Amino acid sequence: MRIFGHTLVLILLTLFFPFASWCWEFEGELSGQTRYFPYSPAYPGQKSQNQSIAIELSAYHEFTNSVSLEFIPFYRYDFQDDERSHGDIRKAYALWATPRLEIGLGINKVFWGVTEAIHLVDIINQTDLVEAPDQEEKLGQAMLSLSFPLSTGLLDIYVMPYFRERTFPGEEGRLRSSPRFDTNNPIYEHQDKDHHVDWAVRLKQNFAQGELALSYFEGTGRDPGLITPVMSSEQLLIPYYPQIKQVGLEAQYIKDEWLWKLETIYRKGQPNLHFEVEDYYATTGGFEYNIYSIFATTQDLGIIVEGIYDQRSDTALTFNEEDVVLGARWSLNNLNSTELLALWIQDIDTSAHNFILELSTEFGNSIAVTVEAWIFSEHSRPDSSSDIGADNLGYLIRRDDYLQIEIGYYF
Amino acid sequence: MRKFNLTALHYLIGSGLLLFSLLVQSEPALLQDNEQKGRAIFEEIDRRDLGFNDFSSRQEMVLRNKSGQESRRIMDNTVLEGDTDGDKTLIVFREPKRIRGTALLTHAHSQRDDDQWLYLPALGRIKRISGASKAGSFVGSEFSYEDLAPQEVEDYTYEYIEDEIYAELDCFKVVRIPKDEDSGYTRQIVWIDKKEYRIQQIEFYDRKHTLIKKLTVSGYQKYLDQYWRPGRLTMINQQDGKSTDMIATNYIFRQGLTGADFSENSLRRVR
Repeated sequence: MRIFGHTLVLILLTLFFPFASWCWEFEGELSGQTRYFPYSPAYPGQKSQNQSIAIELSAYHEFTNSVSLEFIPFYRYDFQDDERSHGDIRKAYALWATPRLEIGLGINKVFWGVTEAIHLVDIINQTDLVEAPDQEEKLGQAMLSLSFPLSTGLLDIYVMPYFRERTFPGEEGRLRSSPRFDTNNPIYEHQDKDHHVDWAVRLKQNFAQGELALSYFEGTGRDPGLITPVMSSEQLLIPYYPQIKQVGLEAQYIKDEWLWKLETIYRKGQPNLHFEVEDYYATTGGFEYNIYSIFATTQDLGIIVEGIYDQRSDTALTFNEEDVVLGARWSLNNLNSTELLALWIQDIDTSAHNFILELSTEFGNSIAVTVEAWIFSEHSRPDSSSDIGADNLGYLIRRDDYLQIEIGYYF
Repeated sequence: MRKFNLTALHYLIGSGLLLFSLLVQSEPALLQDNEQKGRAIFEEIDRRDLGFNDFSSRQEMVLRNKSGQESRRIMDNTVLEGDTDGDKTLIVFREPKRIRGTALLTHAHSQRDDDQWLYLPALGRIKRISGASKAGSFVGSEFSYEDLAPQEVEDYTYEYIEDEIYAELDCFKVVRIPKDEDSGYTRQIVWIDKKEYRIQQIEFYDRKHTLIKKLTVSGYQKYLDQYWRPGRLTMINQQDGKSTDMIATNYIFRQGLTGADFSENSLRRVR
């Protein structure tokens, strides 16, 4: 990726310079982040706190009404974790838009889905896991995309020639597995490795009171399987990227203040925890209910209730195989646009749960502060035959509860 | 007729104006005339604004709390005139910078709830949201979503009250009552100048029938020799002293926009 990234930056720079005198829009965000882990680390080398700084720049240019270029590089320097010090091109994307067809070429970010807690259907971009454990941060994906606007919908086709590996925390980083992932030597099912050409298609239809989308993906799976090498001096997990096929369904129905949501996938080719290919379906859904002007004030409250189900249950390589999600989003609608988000994710079979609290507020036009608290409950180890049982995934980060403060400066 | 009585009853409870109860009993025909006259005034406002096709403007909101602290929001607002159904609006935020590029697309409908989408650029996510959020505050301001939504004649029932001089202008004073139960208001009293049919002031009465907000509109300018647009809207909360100024500049009419510029898909290339 490094070589690819550098080449791309060079190509883009040479492309950009001739137009430097044209009207470009430049913006950016500089942020400092600190994390405090109240519990002593579970694995040697880990630290009890973490500091990092990050920068994201954005350059945008419109050549004509229908042709535009966008370039968004990102870099984070982490003072403790080498693996979390990383750069990425979030976007380097040329778009040609006509009323009948939109053609996009380059690195872009595409989101699919309707639910709030987890995003099952979303598959175009790889997760930038070192950024945040909620898996909402994504790596830029190289693609050619074709979009055909329909009368009340949209047909999207994506061809993705280059695969991105998931990022994982390094030895000094918290929120990691033990043994940790060896991100330098991933194994691919396909001989073309990270040059396998993936493709996807999504058909979306809007209705008066809702929307429906059907999608299909074929190519290198974004979620890695785990290989524990027998012959190795250092104990490391090797990420294994399989060839998968996935059908996805998204549905949303809106009635007054109620938003009903559903996401379902059926995936073939994904190895499970025991490294056996197990085809499965998984679903998540629920509702969001919004109360405006609560307590006769201008404050708004949104209630989120969702369920998560994964057919593989204990062999699923995920934190969420049978969970209930309760959440609330409280917008104070004050001068500082203060917002509070609380999410409780409860496992149905065990007492395991995650609790996430996020407070964000703005100071003036250019500064925003975000405070996050994450609590992982699996402080005791459930019975399991395997070394890293599905129920034990949470156990791996049992001592990694943390408080994070981030200050962002926007320019 | 029955519908009218109900409306009148609503109004009575709200205003406590005994004078009107006398009128209802003695001269219903006159009141019916007032209903028609009120509606006719708003039909005339609507008629005079026909044919603009599209316009855009930059809006700066200055929010003030009771202790005088200020906060600013800047957004670009684009409107497409509806032909068979309601107007379509696109609001793109510029400041605070953290939310810049965030866009709100609204397809107004006269017969059902509006369709609304929110585009979150950081996630690349288009989120369909509930169009029933009429009474909710718009980005913490004293304006609610319904205050800023495109107004359709059919959204209200009307009743002309009297002529009154407002800001040295000869005005009609009309009560309008929202038909939608989700509205945050039981009624609004609107002052419209007789010469140009421009809204000059609105008093908003909440669900408890108390005067909650007062909007004054000023700095009108005429565009394309026909369309009047305000330069400043000031909304003052009568209960807690908070206020929001909305200053509108850079009006541009008839850029030749079409429905494709207001489709959900278009949100992905919003700047």
